Amino acid sequence: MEKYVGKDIPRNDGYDKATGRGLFTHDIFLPHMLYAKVLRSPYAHARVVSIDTSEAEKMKGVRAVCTFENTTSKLFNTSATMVTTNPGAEPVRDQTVFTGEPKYIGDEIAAVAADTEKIAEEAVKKIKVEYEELPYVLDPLEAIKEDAPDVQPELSHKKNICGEVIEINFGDVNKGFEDAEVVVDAFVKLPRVKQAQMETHAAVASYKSDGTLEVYSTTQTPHPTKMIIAYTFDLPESKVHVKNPPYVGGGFGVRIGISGKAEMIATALTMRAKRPVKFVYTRAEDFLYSDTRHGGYLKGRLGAKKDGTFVALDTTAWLNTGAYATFGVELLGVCGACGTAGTYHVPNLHYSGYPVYTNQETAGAFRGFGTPQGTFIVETLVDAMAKKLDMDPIELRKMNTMRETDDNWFPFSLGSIGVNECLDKAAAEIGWKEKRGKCKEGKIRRGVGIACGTHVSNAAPFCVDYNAVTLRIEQDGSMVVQSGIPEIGPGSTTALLQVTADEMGIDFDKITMQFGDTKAGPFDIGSHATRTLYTVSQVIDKAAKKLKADIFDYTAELMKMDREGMYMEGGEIISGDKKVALKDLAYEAHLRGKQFIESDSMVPPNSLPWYAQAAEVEVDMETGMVKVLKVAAAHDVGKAVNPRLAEGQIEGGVIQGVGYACREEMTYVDGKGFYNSGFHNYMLPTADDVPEVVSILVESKDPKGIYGIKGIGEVGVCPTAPAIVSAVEDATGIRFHEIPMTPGRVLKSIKEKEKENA
Amino acid sequence: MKYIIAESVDDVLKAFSETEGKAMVLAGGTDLVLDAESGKKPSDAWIDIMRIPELREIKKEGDRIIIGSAVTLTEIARSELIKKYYPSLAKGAGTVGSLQIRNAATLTGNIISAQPAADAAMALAPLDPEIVVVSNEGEKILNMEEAYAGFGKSAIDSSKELVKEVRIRIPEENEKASFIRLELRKSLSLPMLNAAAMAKVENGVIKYIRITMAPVGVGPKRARAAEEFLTGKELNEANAGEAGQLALKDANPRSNPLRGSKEYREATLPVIVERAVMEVGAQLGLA
Amino acid sequence: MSEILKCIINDEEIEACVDPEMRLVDFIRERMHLTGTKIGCKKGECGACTIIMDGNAVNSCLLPVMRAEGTVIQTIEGVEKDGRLHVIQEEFINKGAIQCGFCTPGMIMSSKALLDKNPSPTTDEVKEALGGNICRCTGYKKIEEAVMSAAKRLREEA
Repeated sequence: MEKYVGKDIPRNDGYDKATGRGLFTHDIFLPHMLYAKVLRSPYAHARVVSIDTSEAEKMKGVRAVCTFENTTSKLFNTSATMVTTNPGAEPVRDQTVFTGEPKYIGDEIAAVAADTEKIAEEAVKKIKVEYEELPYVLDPLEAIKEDAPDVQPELSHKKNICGEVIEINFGDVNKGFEDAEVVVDAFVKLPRVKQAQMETHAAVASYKSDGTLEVYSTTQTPHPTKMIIAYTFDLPESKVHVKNPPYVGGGFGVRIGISGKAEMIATALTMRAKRPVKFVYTRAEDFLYSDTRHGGYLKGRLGAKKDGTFVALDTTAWLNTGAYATFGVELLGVCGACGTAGTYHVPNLHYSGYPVYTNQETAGAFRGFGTPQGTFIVETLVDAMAKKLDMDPIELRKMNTMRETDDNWFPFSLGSIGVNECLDKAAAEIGWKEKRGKCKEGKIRRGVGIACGTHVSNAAPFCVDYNAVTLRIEQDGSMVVQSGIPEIGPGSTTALLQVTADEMGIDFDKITMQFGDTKAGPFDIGSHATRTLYTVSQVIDKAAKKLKADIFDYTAELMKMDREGMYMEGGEIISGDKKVALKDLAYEAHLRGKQFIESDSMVPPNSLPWYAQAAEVEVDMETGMVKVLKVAAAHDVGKAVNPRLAEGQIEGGVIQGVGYACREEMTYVDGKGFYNSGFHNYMLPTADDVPEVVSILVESKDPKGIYGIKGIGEVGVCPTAPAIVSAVEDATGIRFHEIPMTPGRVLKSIKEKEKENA
Repeated sequence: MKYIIAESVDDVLKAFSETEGKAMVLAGGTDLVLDAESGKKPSDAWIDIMRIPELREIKKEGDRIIIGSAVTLTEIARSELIKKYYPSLAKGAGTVGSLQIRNAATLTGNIISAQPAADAAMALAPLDPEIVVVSNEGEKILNMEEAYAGFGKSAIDSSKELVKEVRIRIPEENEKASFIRLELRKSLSLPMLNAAAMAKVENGVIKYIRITMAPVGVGPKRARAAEEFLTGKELNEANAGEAGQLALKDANPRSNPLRGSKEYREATLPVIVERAVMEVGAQLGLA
Repeated sequence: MSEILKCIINDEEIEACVDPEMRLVDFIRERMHLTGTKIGCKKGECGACTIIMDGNAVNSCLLPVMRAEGTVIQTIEGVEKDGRLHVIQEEFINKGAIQCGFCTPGMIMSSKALLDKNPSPTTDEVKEALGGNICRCTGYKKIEEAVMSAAKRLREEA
């Protein structure tokens, strides 16, 4: 019987966060600390002909100036992929701390550490740089043409392709299309969007001449970040300490690895100044000079029998990874694996994914990690097929979604699949039967749409993914859980303690977690890939079993209790009619030189979280304004450890998806760079502009995760955009193949359609 | 930098003389603080006018409503007097930025920052306000168009001129005003387009109408052709639609990477002008 | 040139010598060490720095420090009284309105400014009060629920 798992336990960091007492990297002020500012390239591609820092160095209060000339030029990758690529494959290492050949507007040339931010800013302005402009390319389809300028010539095996072209093959796609009776095609264009987490990238680094480095930062992955810093600056990993302070103001993938480049720049400066250095990205820097979601193009072809059975699916993605790889290669893999090949049972599949270098800001991880893009093309095709076959889009989906017994290309067993239940529940909540396909007339039109899909619950076995915990009983019987895993917002550190409390039979309020710190435990890959609760709960389960065995053995001997049938509940060890409080036992053990401690690590299995979302929209036919009225989001979470926190993940994801579908877009202005430098010119949703969101938790109880848990963190955003596009099609008769559906795009299509009809 | 907290209009005028044109009037500060940091509006001193009691009032004086220049946008949006006579002004003032910004910013600041699509200034424009400016040279009254010198450029020099108040005439029973905003987001964003109108209608016929629109030129732009067309005509959907089309004659919108291309703004300006006109009708119980 | 600032912050009388070009948020965070007030943009576009000044929610990042002269200011640190959380804080925790926590202090200050004046807000009034506070984690639903629920409790306890 679970006492905590499945309950809405208030988050254990609630007090810290509701009172402002909890610390974030922005709040760290160390004695004798300096402030950093960065000099960035004004050109999309250039060579620095000369750089003169003498005027800046002369300024009072300037303590260190770092440039590409006096800082290590060792190549690294800011993403955790640098240290988590599977054996046999090489990660792409393609950037340096500073560069003499900037490859995008904003690339880092130099940085200054000074007594105040203002002095640092003035000093940066005094650095004189002479550039020679070089040819540049901005669009991924342009970049792969043979005559396009090269972005990373030494590192591209194929024209402007970072790493490799990802290929997925299953069955025989050509034969599949020969067997197909109905075929539909689609080509879509997707925007770059920004994570826009509330705390901008930041690091406070403190290097001492004894060779030790301490870094507070906003990273989602303290251990991989430690490894990347140690590698780049040639420091022993044992001397590098990376930690969150302990809170991180959001992430959504943007800092899996280095936070922008904050840790690297602060480290370069502190090693030169030998004083602590704080580097906080301005909001504009965060928007313009750190990873976005990948935008670009996808094309697809779907073949089916007349009865609707899918027989072949062929998709290709060309996504813009910007000037440096970061997660380019891996993301194109997930786009194919989960986004295009995961949802439906299609016996013949092919996918090619091109991670394309361009001279733009980098694209990397953002909630969903390729799945939203892949899902978008596939759901576009499925809706087109439903239309062509004159079938209900939900019926067509339900007959083709993956079943537990289907052969498939996933390198692990499928586990439980609750997607059809999600489809039914989302449809019922939105009022599908009453609303879909009803005659639409007038200036204001309404419609409903739906989309579904899957994702993963961690990165194994596609890349290195493991973690470790240490569990410890204190001398008074209370308990400490230590793990390097960070808390970036979802409440994982609360849900994990719910699991721990039930596993151990110790009350929730007696357990504390130390997290987000490389000194809290051995290697832990960190918070990414929807993994934190799913994977860490499993390793806690494993270690807890051993810890309990140790406690029970000791109790049996010391207290002369029967070991057989011994269990713990409410902090008491019980066997037959005898019991002893863990509090007392732990102290007795202490007096005898014994503390109960257990560590363990493991590579997790993987499980598929499934989902379907239905949306209702209203379209103003005169202004092109799309208003999302409601999203019904049904998610197969396996088992909700903390339903309220799980809903929070879904609701937050859905609203990001609403932005993706209708408003959010990074717009590039040639010669100037991206236009969207802040919240005022990046239209993410505000409180007074969000639709009603209804989250529906479906619990399919996965056989692999403990308690049946699957991941939840990323999936909320994955199907929202195609569901809204489908709803707009229902309202207007127009299928959008480009998002966001801004009023401009929508009105243009409405006018074109009016012309066609006239 | 010096910070002068003025307690009276005389204090401000004295500070103007003492600082010899090197100071700036600081009202809400929500624009000026950012401009100062980016080096756009350098000054040796700020003259804070927000504690001057006579500038902090909204009051009725004869047939006029007087809005002091240190009244915040929130105070305007919530003023019973404004809501009674000019709900459209309350709406426009209540749309700027966010509540936090409106709690600090002022209507006068919204005019002086001279952004063409500033919602509060835009809602004010068709009400034909008198903007009362004082300086050591005396007092002068500007109308709305006279207050704008160019894109983002005010005709009021805040280093030697103080806007004391904005005066608007109390409307008659058959005079109503409207404000419409075409927006990507309610809060924290400028509109794609906005339009406002004020009309007097007798027996269903428009006696006069003032229509303003933005951003389609410098400041709130009058839709003269549309106004002329509507004058003497019945306030109905067909005429409002026609006026919407005519509004394009006085509009020269530019493309913005975010808030709409020139084509989009030209396609939707008629729609929102029509809606602004019809909203006046709705308030008069005509539509 | 510096000026003398006198004001009340969280019930404490403050007298400090300040550079008038300093923004109020920097004074609060770096001089008063009240780091609960966050900086999310420093341009008045996100509400993370929201404080209550003379009863109104304002962006402390947009105000020159001397605007605080003679005012009564409350920051997030002043909301908990005598070791007891305010009802709004409790409801934010109970209703799942907090995720990463970076927007939370600003959200709570905006909510408090609303409920201090208007104990029975409509959903639209709550949305208006929170429209200037960006949260990227929650999708706002649970924040609105927390504010409505806090309002109800405050009415009951009054």
